[in-house]
Amino acid sequence: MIKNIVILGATSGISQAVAKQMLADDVCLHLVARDMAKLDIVASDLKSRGCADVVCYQLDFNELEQHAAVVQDIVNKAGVIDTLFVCYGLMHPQSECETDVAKALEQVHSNYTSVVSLLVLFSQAMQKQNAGTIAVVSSVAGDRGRKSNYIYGSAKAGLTTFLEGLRYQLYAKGINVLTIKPGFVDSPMTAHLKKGALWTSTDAVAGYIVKAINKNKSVIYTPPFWFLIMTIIKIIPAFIFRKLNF
Amino acid sequence: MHFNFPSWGHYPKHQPKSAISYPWSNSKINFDDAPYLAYGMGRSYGDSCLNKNGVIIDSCQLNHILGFDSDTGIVRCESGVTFDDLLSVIVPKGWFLPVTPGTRFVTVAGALANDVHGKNHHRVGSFGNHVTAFELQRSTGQTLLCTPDNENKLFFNATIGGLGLTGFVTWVEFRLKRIVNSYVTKSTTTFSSVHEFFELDEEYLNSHEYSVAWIDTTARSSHLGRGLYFSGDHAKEHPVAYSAKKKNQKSLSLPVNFPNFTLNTLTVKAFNLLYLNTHKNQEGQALTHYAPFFYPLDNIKNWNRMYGKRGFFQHQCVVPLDNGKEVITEILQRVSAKGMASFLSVLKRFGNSPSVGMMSFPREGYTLALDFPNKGKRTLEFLNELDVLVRSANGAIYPAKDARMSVDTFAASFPHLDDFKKYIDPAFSSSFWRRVTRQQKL
Repeated sequence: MIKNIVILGATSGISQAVAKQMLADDVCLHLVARDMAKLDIVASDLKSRGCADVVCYQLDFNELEQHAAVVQDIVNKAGVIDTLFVCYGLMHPQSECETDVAKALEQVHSNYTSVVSLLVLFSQAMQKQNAGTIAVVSSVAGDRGRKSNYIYGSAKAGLTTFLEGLRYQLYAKGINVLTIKPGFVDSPMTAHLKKGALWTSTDAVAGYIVKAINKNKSVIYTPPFWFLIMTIIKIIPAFIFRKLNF
Repeated sequence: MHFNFPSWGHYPKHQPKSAISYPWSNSKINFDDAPYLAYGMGRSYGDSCLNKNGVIIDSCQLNHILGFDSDTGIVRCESGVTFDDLLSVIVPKGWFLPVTPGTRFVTVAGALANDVHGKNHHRVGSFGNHVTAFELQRSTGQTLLCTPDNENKLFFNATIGGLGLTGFVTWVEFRLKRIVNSYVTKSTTTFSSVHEFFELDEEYLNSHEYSVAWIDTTARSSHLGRGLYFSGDHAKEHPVAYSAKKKNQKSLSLPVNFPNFTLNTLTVKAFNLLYLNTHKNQEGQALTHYAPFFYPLDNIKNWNRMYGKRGFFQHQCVVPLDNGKEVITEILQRVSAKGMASFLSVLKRFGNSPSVGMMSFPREGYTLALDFPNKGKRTLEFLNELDVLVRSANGAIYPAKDARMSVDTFAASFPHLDDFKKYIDPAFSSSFWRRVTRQQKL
């Protein structure tokens, strides 16, 4: 039996690392991304590494009206979707969003609205299977509003709450919904940021993700020490938090 | 992106003014700054991978295998793909690297730029001999497809062994070697002097695919140059399945620099004796996984930290066969007499396959690699002494391992230097290049 794995945002650093770890000679990867030229490179890589089959789909995630047709196309080609992995996002510098409404809304649209649209479409299709996993990359940034990153954070907070509800809804249908909250990941999205000791490679993060998918986990922090960091950050009282600079 | 960009010997400590990451092999860089230098895994020992006050182009995101035909064994990879990564893909399909250096943590473009050699040089030449094509991006905006016989063949010859100075290599295509399993039949023989090595080598070299000797540089007088001769061949039968990773393989990591006094004459002597004696007991033939055979040090991550913060020097020379034996013996004598014990010393005979690169290091003769902790002026003076010996015999020093050779030694080592200069990209340079061509410091 061929296993079908669908990856939305397949050219992102984390997605590529996850795909490399999940590929096998009985796996068909359905890769969705906006840039076909980049997607072709990723697809040849995964094929060279021994994946049974790789199918590419072009989609600009921000164009909501295109969602239904692409989802239908994937469902038609795959039949049963064993795993849906969602990992795309947009991070504008917060300072730009504070003065530019369009940029702020684009951030919310891309990180929240478009994901909701796609997940509603996919979960309708997957409910009929009575099995499968939906794994979605959210962020630790959604755990608490911080002055340095709250617009991105609020979109991810919305996404995390959406995923929690979806998990309860799909539980009865035998579908597991996994929320992934990576900390600082050294990937193309964060290439412009200065790195320190808390940063992790995409390969390491992918390892945690694949393990969590296989073990039907609900929520994971990657690497796990971020659970501790976020627990502390969440309990800092507001009167102290507002004086902190992050 | 890497956090910083050191060289493997931790000497010199040069930092670039900035670093960019090359994101996709189909994208282009705006070369609006200079000088540029590509950086892969930073396994060059000296300053050939450094670009003081210049711009580093980090290739770590160029990690895609663009094509792998498991019937013909032709593989095309982006420049930042590592041998380690590649082995995990090709070995299970019955293929192996045509040539591999003593570490698998190098990128394919790094292997190309240094035209690396391995234990099978006497049979198959160096890495460049197996390259079928690559793409070169020049700061002029040109993208050149280079093959051994198309209109860009001179760029092909200049870029192989060209130390990254001819432009940015986006991908490399080369031929792999067939294997039937992931094991190697290894034989270990001890020899009690360098003289005995030369005899042993005559006898063994041609009958084995891989050969290399480890030398105990602490031994003196009649034992001068004693050591272990390792030879090997890919195992023929199918006793075990292919596996890229050895089972239960444990890897150790040195988390911090050791204090500078860790490696002194006494500890090196003790290590050498221990190494010699452990292997004495393993004399004869044995079946071993390819990883410990080819990459004995890869299991200790950051082993270079053993040398402390001051770093260390590698000295690798090649001396033509004519008076190779005399010169190698003389070098070993000086090392032993000065008590400059080298921790890991390797001796091998290169074969006569001509290298394709204008600036390739490998050429027929004996090659000896030594390493020395950085003890400042004393070490530098001693290494210059060795260079004089090497030059007197028309030998050469390996740039990938060098941090100190003189302008004259460099010119004497590479007779095609003037020809090569015509193909250098004007926007590319390295700390090494500025040093050995006496260009103004940045």
